Amino acid sequence: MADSSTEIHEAVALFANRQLADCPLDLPISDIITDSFQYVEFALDMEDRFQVTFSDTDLPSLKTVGDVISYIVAASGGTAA
Amino acid sequence: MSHDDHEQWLLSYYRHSEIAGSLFFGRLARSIRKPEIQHDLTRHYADEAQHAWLWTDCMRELETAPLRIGSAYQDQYLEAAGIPSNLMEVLAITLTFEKRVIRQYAEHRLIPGTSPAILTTISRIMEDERWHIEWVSRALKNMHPQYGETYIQDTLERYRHADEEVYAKTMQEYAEQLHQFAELQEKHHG
Ligand SMILES: [Fe+2]
Ligand SMILES: [Fe+2]
Repeated sequence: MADSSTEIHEAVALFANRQLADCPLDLPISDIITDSFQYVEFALDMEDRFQVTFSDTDLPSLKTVGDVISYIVAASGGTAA
Repeated sequence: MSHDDHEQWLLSYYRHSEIAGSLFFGRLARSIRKPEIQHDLTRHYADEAQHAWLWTDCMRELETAPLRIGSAYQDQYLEAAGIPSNLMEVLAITLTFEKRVIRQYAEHRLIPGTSPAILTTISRIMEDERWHIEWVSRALKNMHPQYGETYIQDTLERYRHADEEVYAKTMQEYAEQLHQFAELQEKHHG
């Protein structure tokens, strides 16, 4: 579980084009996603990497990097590969 | 506005909306890694860019030039229709777009007296547009096991409603231009 969280965290940092240290868990998603199309790209990237399907109601409710990681871990049964 | 002014506006509008489509699919083509979708989507992106070129070329043949158009249908679409959150929703919104585009071109083609240059351009584009609808429909069908048929159908229905709304709100200018153009052309040729 710790491993998968790290992997998701790394993927989010990669998407944001940031070092892991510059992408803390409390970083607002709005700092990473600045336009509506980037939102689509982010969802597609996470879906592709972790086989997680966001819904149009779930994704907007995720406010921080930490929220996204928890969501993906939970959606993949705590074993995001 | 004269007949030629309306024609210039309409062709500029088509060109602008093909460019907007191409930019949309270009960004998607960059993000999507699923090989079967990536292949068709990249061709789709290239087609839309080609369509923008065909309109540009057609306008030159008609001795007119593209106008700057404020915003395309697609520009307002994502906000109004709801931003797609997964690959299936992206394809569902794409299918809705494409059906709208085909309807617009089909309508224009029916206006009596439409110039051969425009008819040829629309015919060439329509061939691709039919393929766009075909591959996206096929891809959505292949997604039934992953997303469930009901979720896919509900999403398509949601976007269809949004499309009607966006069209009514944002496309008045297009509809008026087309209507006035058709009237003037009828006078011209009738
Ligand atoms: Fe097109
Ligand atoms: Fe198209």
